Amino acid sequence: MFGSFLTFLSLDYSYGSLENMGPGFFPRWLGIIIFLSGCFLFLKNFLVETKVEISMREPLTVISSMMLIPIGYNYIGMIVLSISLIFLSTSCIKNFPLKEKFVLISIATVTLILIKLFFLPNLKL
Amino acid sequence: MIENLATGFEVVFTIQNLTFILLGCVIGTLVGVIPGIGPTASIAIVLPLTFSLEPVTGIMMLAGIYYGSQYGGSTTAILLNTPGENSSVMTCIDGNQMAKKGRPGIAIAAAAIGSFIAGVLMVIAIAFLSPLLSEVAFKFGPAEFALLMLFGLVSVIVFTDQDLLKGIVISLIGVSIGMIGADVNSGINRFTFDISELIDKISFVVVAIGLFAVPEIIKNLQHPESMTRFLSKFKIVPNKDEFRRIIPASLRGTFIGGILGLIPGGGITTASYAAYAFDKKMSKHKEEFGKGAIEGVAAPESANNAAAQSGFIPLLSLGIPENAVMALMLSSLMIFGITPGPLMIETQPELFWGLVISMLVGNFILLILNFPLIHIWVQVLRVPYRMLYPLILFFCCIGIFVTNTNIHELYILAAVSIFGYLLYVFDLSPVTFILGFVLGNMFEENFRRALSISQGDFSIFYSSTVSLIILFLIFLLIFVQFFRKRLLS
Repeated sequence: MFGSFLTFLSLDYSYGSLENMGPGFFPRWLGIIIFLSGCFLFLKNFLVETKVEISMREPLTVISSMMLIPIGYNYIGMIVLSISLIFLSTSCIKNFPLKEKFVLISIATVTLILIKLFFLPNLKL
Repeated sequence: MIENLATGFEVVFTIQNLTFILLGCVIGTLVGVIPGIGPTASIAIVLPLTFSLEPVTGIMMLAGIYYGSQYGGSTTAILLNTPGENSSVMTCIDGNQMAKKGRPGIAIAAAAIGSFIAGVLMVIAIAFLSPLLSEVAFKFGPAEFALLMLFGLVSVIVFTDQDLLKGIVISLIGVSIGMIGADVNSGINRFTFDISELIDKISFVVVAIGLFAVPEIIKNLQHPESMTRFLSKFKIVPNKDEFRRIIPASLRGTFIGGILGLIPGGGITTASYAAYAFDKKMSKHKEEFGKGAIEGVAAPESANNAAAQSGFIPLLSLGIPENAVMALMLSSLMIFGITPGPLMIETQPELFWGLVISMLVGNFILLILNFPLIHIWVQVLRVPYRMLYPLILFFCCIGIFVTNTNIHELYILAAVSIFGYLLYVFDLSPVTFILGFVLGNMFEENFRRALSISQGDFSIFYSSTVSLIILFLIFLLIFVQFFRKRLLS
């Protein structure tokens, strides 16, 4: 799928020639090779039974805690977003001590203040 | 040579540079000691913070983190039977047995001394071999460089022990993602979908953190380890007999690690396995291996440090990264506006020789940090992982934001993290992806240039002796991988 998508997109760019390759030359052939390799892998593994266990809780928690910052930055300051990140990411672990959460929040807050003072004066706290 | 070394000492012995070398060594040891945090992820996280430093200072610090982590990884391997780094797996076997017999300090000393011997010898090797190799590299044209990059990609695929075809597909996907943004030759924006953030290409730091740091956190949350702990005080100074056994094992490990470290993908972990196996065969105390042989600690630890440092030779002299950490170093040098390769040693002698001497100084610092100060690192092991991972996640996000003050890069980070996690779930190596991402553009540039010179004639790729040798090595690697799989099945 990726290979065919890449080849399709590369049609928008000029192909050129062997001695003067355009921007579409390399991605087109790359897409074709990926497509053919993918087909071969699919056929090779078609009859093979494999079980892949994906636990969704931890990846969802971690990724969504990261997403809080870009989503909320235009509306809320970085300190509140970092606190939310810490609370959400620590929800993976049962009975995470509240005291330890406050230690983490303190470290994050001090870091943000130092960044604003020394690196990014425009940082929205 | 003496003038060059003097330049190096002059660069290193400033308060700022010594401070950052020390900081790099401390962070590296910390990263090595704490299981679940690797040098690749750590360097990716720290990388944005180095942009405000001088290039030489930044690179010295990052290098310190890398070889420092090799020293630190042995501590958890010995005390907790959990390797701090993949390269310390072999150290667990005899190191933990020595700890159980009441000799954890001697095991840690053997690891520290072995790593130190390897570090110093490899610095000498880098000082001599890199300039020689860069002289050879002047004979390389675009065709030879394109083939060399192809060799790098193929050997990483072969040595990361995954299905060859899957490795090729992942690496080519990495190459494709690396093409997003402005085309170097024509200046046309490729695959940007009119998103302005993509015009300047996807940031390497975002890809590295998304592929290594975040999936590592998810993995550790899903599989928390239970450990037996040796955290009380212990004796650390070996006696004469123990020293007599440590030194030859360290020298053998250094030789093996130094050679294997030069091969792209061959790497640190392979070097430590090979050194352990070789020393088991060569040792006069074969019966002790697996039960607490001091050589079983010194050999793999010296090999992993030697391999870590010899990886700088192809990077600095040819501009070819042989693993993910070297790819990070390459990217950081390029962000600083420096192109590693044959010309770098001539045009940036203070950077090259400064880095070489910083490794020498760094190894001395690490010997002190990991030998007499080991009890401090043991205390760090008392901090539970649950206190570390939210901070790592926080620093990943803030680090990326601080680099380019572009909040939208965090969306890209999230997407890459999901991809990185899927690679882990399907047992595919992210190293092949990231090397494809880094080397792909360089390969395309040299490939196009070579065909432009030859006016479309492919014979340019097999007309010179150097290109024939590289082609032979590529086919040899593919043959070995294919043959090895047939034998195993």
